[in-house]
Formats: sequence, C-alpha cells, structure tokens
Amino acid sequence: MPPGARSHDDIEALAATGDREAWAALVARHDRRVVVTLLARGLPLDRARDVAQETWARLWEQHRGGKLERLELPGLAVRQAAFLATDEARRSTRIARDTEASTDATEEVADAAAGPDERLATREGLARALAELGRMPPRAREVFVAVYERPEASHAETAQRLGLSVQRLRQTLCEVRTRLRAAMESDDG
Amino acid sequence: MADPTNDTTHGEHPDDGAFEAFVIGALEGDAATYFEAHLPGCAACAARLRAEAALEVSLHEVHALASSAPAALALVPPAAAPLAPALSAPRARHTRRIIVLAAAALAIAATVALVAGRTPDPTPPPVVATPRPPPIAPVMCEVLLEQAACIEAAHRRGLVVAYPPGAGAPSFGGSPTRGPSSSPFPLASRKEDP
Repeated sequence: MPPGARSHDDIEALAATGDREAWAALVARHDRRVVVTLLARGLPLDRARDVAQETWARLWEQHRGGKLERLELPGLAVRQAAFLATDEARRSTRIARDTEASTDATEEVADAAAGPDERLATREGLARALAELGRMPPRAREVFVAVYERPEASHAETAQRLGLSVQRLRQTLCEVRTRLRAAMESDDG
Repeated sequence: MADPTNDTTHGEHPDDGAFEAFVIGALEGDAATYFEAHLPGCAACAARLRAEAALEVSLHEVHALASSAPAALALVPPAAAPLAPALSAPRARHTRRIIVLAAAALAIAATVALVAGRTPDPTPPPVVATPRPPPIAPVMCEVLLEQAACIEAAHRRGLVVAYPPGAGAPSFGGSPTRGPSSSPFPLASRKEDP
C-alpha cells in the first residue's frame, strides 16, 4: 500500500521503522508548518524552503542513526528549523561585520534570529481571539479545532471527517481566521 | 525611492486571498505557481506573506490555549464588576482586561465542550471568584543559543516560559556546520537525555 493511502498514524509508525517512503510522506504532511514558522520569523520563501529541507535531512540522519527516541512532529522539526535559521543569521551577521558590508539578504536572515516573533499576538490578543472563538457558531469552532488539532491532515481528510466539502471547510476556515485576526489586532486600550 | 507597494516589475500582485490560501495550504495549480514566481521580487508581497504566516503561528497558540482549557478555566475569575465611571485609568484598564479574560474563559468552556463532543451544560455550577493569575500561554524556549532572546521576548509579550534557563534546557552537540554526526539538535527526545 503506498504511503499516501495510509492513515497518518500508520505513516508515522512506518516512518519510525526507517521506511524512506513513509518518511517522505510524513515530511510532505508537516513541511508547510515548518515553512510557515520560518516565514513568520522573517525568512524569504526560498530560504524558508531551503532551511526546511535541511531540517528534514538532519532529522532523517538523526532518526536513522537511532538518536531520536520519538518522532515528535511537527514540534521537533519546528525547533530544529528555528535553530538552523538562528545559526545562519548569526553566521551571516558575523560575516557582514567582518567585511563591514551589510546586504539585504543578511538583514533578512539576521531578522529571523529575534526569537518569539514580535509580530505575534500579545497575551491580551490571544485572550480576545479565544473570546471571539467562543462567540462563533459551533460549526465554525468545530472547523477551527479540527484544522489546528491535526494540522498535518489535508483539508480533504478534515472535510471528510466533519462531513463537509473541501470548499465549505476552507470557506469556513477563512471566515474564522478573519474574525480571529480582527480580534487579535483590535486594541483593548 | 519607489514605493514597494507599486512594484509590479514582476507582474501583478497576487489576489488578496492568495496569501491566506498559501499559508493554510489551499493555494494550488497555476495560482500557486504564479504566487511563488512573483514573490522573490516583490518586497510588499513578501511582507504580506510574513504577516500572514505570523497570524498562522498565533492561531496555533490560540488552539493550544483552547486545548489547555480545564487548567485555564480554574484560573480565571468568572465575571467582572461593571466598569464604574470614577475608575482611574489604570484601574479601568485592569477591569477591561479581566472582562476580556472572563470572556476568554467562556470561550474556552465552549471550545472544550466542542472538543469533548459534549453540549455545554445550560446551568453550569458557579465558579468561586478568587484572585488568581489569568490564563497563560506558555512559550517553549528550548533552543539554548537563542534562549535569552526567547525569554526576553516572551516576557515582553506577557507570556510564560516553559523552559527557564538551566531548567529543562536540552543539550546539543555543536554548530550545524559540522555535519550530521554532530548535529546541534535541540534534542528533547534524544535517548541520552533524561
């Protein structure tokens, strides 16, 4: 059975045994989360993709070498990607300082070393988003929870689980995101 | 200096919805191809994508908060006193914050009920209001090299750090330039770690 036809749990179990095809399927499911995290840290898309690829390559080597007890994805990949981005930023900054030259590319990656992104919501913003979530219709909350509970699942899988069409799921998800975005960006003075 | 928002040297900017669609994994086919071809040469669109990605990361935090609802519920006062006109500005801000947090508690209750597949009890037992800290969004500052900046930024945002310095900080082997055998993983799950 090809990895694409298996359940996520089956793919994880197979990847844990070192199956390369299953590993590729696992990467395909989690890669977007890693790339989005790197984008949020300020990396341009092409660099985010490169760092994500390097992340998976390193995790595979560690996994094959038996150094990972559990494949805690996507958390392990997100942390590894953040480390690589930070390291790259520091090296670029050091090179720029040594050569007394500052390029746009250097500034881009240096910006990615800032730790928790300052553009992320504040504690109050998160509380407002939670309150807004509570005011939404049950179906909308259900879509939000289903999508973010298993972000590795495809929209087709999630839609099927909820008994919705993919189009309806995405439409609802975008409506929920719009409201939560507005809640987080609003000012409570 | 040219306004980057008017930079169309790489073609028309993608539709507004393309940024969100890209981040949630719903951008496909020609639209995705165009989006990715346009992005490298357009600073304005790169900034929009970055903002959209930051929102997505924040929404994962919102979901994490909702998932930790039982603990958060116990920490939140159930209701706030009406905002008196004579309140001083700091007091008014504090009261408004409590209102927001109380509303968040209700949202959490509804979300927990949803996650658990239950209908919320129409007459929930009253919760005793006690002066306890509000719900927190823990931040995982596990990467040792960036831990200080991580903790500082988390404090600025009013968040709690799950891994304070020296406590639970995972070890790693060195610089990522050394190759796979000495990969600097923040190896929370390495076998040799306790």
